[in-house]
Amino acid sequence: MKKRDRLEVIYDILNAIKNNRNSIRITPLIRKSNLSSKRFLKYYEELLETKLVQKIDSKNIKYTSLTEKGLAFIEKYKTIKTFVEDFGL
Amino acid sequence: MAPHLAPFAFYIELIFSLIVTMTCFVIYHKTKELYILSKHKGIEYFRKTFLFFGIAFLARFFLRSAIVILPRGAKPIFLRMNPWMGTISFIVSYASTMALIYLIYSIYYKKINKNILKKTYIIHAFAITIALSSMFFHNKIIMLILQFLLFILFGIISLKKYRNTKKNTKNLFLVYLAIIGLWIISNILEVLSFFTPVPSIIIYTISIIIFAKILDKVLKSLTIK
Repeated sequence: MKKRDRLEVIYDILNAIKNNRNSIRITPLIRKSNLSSKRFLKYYEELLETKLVQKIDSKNIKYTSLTEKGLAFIEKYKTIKTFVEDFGL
Repeated sequence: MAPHLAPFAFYIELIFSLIVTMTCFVIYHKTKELYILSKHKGIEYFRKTFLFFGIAFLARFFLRSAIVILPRGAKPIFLRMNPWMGTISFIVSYASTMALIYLIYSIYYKKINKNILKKTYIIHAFAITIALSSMFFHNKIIMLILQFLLFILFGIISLKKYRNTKKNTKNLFLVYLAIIGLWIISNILEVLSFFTPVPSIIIYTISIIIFAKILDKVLKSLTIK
């Protein structure tokens, strides 16, 4: 299987959140992202930092959901991917 | 003096340089959203390439405007001694060197050590040193040699990447090489074209076609959903 690049991994994580009614706990998200815990946390930190996802506390349970920016990323993913490929970036 | 021999041609050259400047800034602006969403390093360097090219062309527009505006006889002395002209000349050298470095970065950043990529101040300091030496010595030779070396480096990298890329990206490497080549040629011609702007107009015409082609490709890529 071809190794996913950074953009593909981010897309897969965001899509997993979206497909779970935009609210998911961290453990199933790690499983759905197909990454090791260490690699997942690296990406997760980045997603929080770039405000593509946000943490939500509900009844003492921590969830992760997409922000507006995260939804925009999913919407524009194909454009970003095509752009990167077209310009050899 | 040149403007009095062919003022019309000088105005055409100025208009052409503004078109190239605008094209660069439009490319920079249009790709903003993609970068904000993805924080993709390649897109970042690609955008910076056109930002710095835009600044370089704009600064050169002001430099060349002085030839048209200034009174007869005062130009060569003015261009050499005036601190404002010196500053603009510095900006041209600095921005164009940075544009070439970022163009190399945009296609080769995956192979460059991440620690080196983080230390961007080193390349800025390098470009500033080259620009300052060009400004103080009133000599573009150092900058031209450096930019020619970057041109060679880009050629070698492109050749290495050429084999493993899609057909449309292969053409893009040639377009990039043409941009760098044209910039270097136009710098050489700038000295010669102090007396006639015609060669510069030809170079600008080719530059407009190339930059417009890149802008067209950018706009087409952005419409894909």
